[in-house]
Amino acid sequence: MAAQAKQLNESPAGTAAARWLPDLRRAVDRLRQREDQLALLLSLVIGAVVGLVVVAFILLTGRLAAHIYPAGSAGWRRVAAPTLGALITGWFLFRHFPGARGSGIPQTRAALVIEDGYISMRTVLAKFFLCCGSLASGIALGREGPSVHVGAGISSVIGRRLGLSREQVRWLIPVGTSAALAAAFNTPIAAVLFSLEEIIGDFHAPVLGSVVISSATSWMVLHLVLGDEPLFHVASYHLANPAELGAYAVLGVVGGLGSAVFVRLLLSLRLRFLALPRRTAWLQPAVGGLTVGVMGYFVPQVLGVGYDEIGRVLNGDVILRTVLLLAVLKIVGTAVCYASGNAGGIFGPSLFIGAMLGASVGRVAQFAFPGHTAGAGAYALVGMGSAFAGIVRTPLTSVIMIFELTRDYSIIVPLMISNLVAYFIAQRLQPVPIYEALARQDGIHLPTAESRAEHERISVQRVMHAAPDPLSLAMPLAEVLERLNGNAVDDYPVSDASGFRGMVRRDDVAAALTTSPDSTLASLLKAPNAEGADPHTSAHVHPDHAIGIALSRMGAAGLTVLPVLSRRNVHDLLGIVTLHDVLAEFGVGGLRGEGWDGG
Amino acid sequence: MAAEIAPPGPPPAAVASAQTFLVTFALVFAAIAGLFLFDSFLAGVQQRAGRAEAAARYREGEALLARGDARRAVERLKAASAIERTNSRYALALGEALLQAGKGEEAAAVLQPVLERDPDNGAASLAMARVLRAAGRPGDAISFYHRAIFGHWTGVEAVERTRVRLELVDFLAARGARQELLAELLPLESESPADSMLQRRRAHLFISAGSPARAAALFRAMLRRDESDADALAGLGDAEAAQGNYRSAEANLTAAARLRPADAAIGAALTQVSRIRVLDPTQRGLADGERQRRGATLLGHALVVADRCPAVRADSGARLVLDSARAELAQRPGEQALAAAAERLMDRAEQIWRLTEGCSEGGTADQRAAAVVLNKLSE
Repeated sequence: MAAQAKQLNESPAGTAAARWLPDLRRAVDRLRQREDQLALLLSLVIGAVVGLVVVAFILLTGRLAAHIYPAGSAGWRRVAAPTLGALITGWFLFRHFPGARGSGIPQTRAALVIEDGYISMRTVLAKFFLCCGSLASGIALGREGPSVHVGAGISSVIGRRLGLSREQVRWLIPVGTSAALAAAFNTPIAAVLFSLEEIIGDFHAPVLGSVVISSATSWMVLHLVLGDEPLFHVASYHLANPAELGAYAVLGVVGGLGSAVFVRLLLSLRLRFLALPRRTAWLQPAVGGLTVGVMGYFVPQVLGVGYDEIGRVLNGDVILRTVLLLAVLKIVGTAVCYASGNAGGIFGPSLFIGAMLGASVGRVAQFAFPGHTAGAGAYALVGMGSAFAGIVRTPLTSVIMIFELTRDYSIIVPLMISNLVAYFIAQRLQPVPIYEALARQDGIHLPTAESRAEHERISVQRVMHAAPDPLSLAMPLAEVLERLNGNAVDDYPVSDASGFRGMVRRDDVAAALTTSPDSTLASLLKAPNAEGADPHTSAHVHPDHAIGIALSRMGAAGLTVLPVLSRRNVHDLLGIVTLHDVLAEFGVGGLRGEGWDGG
Repeated sequence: MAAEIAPPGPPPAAVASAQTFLVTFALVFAAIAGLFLFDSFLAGVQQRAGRAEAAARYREGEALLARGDARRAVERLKAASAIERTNSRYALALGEALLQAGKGEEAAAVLQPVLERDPDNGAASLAMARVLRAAGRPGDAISFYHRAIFGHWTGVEAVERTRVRLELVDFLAARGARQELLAELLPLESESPADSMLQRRRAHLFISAGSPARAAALFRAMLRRDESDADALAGLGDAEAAQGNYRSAEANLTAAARLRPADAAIGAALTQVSRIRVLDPTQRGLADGERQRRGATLLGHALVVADRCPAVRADSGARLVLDSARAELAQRPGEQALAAAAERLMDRAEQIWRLTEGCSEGGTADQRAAAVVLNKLSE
């Protein structure tokens, strides 16, 4: 047998495998250690996989919908299909796949912030198939949120399968979300912005490169399969008159109000549904299905996402009464569908609501100022962005997304104005953004933009003190210790003729004094060209730094006092900031009013 | 017997991780390949279904358009065009439906991308010509008619070109653009020399284009082929009447009436020519007195039309001219001054007739005959 094994290893195939397999393994190990190369490879792979999966999701949903609603189908289907679809998916979501409920955006953010990026394969598959069925049956929700959740889930699964660290798996989440949105909307730039603005909440995130690459890869895959068709084909619109910006500002107001109404209605209805007995949870989605089904019986355009109707309205096919009715019905239908627990997103419905509201304003503007306003389609286009900015609260993403959807730059100024007005109005009327509010209803507290920015608003400048008289390098250690003992803090700045040299600790001085009592301060500080001697590299802050940075640098350096140096000349000591002062600024332990006594 | 080889132990941790890494990537790449195939299949199914639906909508739209229901036809054709955006046939049908529904601007917006993709598309150019014609932009419409004539067609190009040219010709005839009409009529002969119906139509249009001699030549050619061609005789009569050869016109129309006594049009034309013949003062061989009498009759007719023309009544200068003309009409010239009087009366009649431009439609049969003569004098 030993001879047989030896013969096997020494066979041509065995010899070849024995030769390249170790090389391959070494290459893999090297790759695992090179994070940048691994990140690049994963971005490409995730972009491709997620792009293909989202395309499959879109196509499958479309084919299923075509079978459920064949051309010329009877009206009863419009009532039965959403009700039955919601009933079936509701049962599965409640009994087997609770993680697949909702739009997917809050769930993705929760996974990123709370679960170390964990999204199970089970949730991914459930989300994919159940949302496919739900949306195809006519539920008035969108596909983009579920796509984001699926994309994030695929990234998570791949990262965990590859044995990556928790931190690495976490940072793959936005890579997956940007790939998903790029494929779902055919908007690669907006996908990147959304991942940074909404999912991570930081435009300077370290994964920016990976997010961009995955978005681009997903977009290329989409084009390979489906070609280069924008989501909406829109006529080229222009500002008819500069005074028209006023009308677009009015549209922003309408969009903001409509957004606030929609979000409040959705949240209040959801609370009511959540208050019902838990045993009815599987049945609740059917309420949403029946509601939208009854609406859809009379007004079929309410069913599904409604991209066809959006396309018509964007091209000026607008009757005022109809678009107003559609806006109202969609607000109610989507709110009920989501609140009752159906799986699906609100991106698409937001665009629908915005398009209808915009078209309404546009039609009124045309009546009031004929010849001085653009067509109602232009207003529908801007309205989409307004509602999206007001509901989802991502104004920058909204502007870029509408631009990418239409590939027309000329409408961008009205879009920016309208978006910002809608954003501010929605924020005033509904301070908590919808995704945070939904998460809170589930008992999850996600970080908000405000909370993230809060600690960044207080700068070192606000809490720093004037620099004390620095210690001289020639000062004897005994004198130095005496000076330090007279102060409450343990660290003190040291300067010489060239300026600031570093900080010296009381403990270090005391220790040096016992071994070399006649030494001067110069013996404690490193030589000018020694490592760590240069203020460029030793712990310090600048006046414009957030105090959070001061705190983290204190911790890293083991100091309770940091020098505040000028950005123009790092040897120019502007002042100091103490741990005491930072904590006092946050109001910790009632420390306000106490601080450095100046020595 | 050799001892059994101990089975290999579990691989060391580093080697297992690398294996998992490799297997995972292999699975992922396999998934990419599988998904790509699946998506391509689904996309193909989607495209086929889309094309079938678009075709169904197109057929419905065409049927509705044929029944005259342009509004519903627009809905169906819009749906078809939205599914297959690059299908020119659907876009053209939609453009036509929009035009029939009175939405010319929308029709132009639909046709523009088709022309941008294919500037030589004959059908698209024709559709745009019709849109511009309805929009009251004749110059642009004519330009697109020409593009349609010289563009490429999916059917038999010669047939399409002739059809388009005939449509243009009718348009120009309706506008009274004689020179442009003549320019379009001339190439028709080379395009369809053997088509007798077309030749007949050309001949009549030559008269409208102010080239009755060419019309007469065509009608004579038809009569050489068939002497008993009543239509050709009547046409020749019209052509000769237009040339002022009223006796010959009368003779041909009489011959046509004999061949087709129940034809009211020929009868009316004959009557009209006869009236004109007795009114036209420019015929050869007329005595001065007869010319003077006919001149006075024409002046009288011109004054009648001028009196009921709002533009003339509102113009004080024009009223002075009318008063002066009435004064001349009341004069009784002597035998020696008949020729001069005839000339004055004809000049005055022509002058007043020019003032009544736009007011000279309708009237009795005699007034219509007088109008023909006065128009001829004014040319």
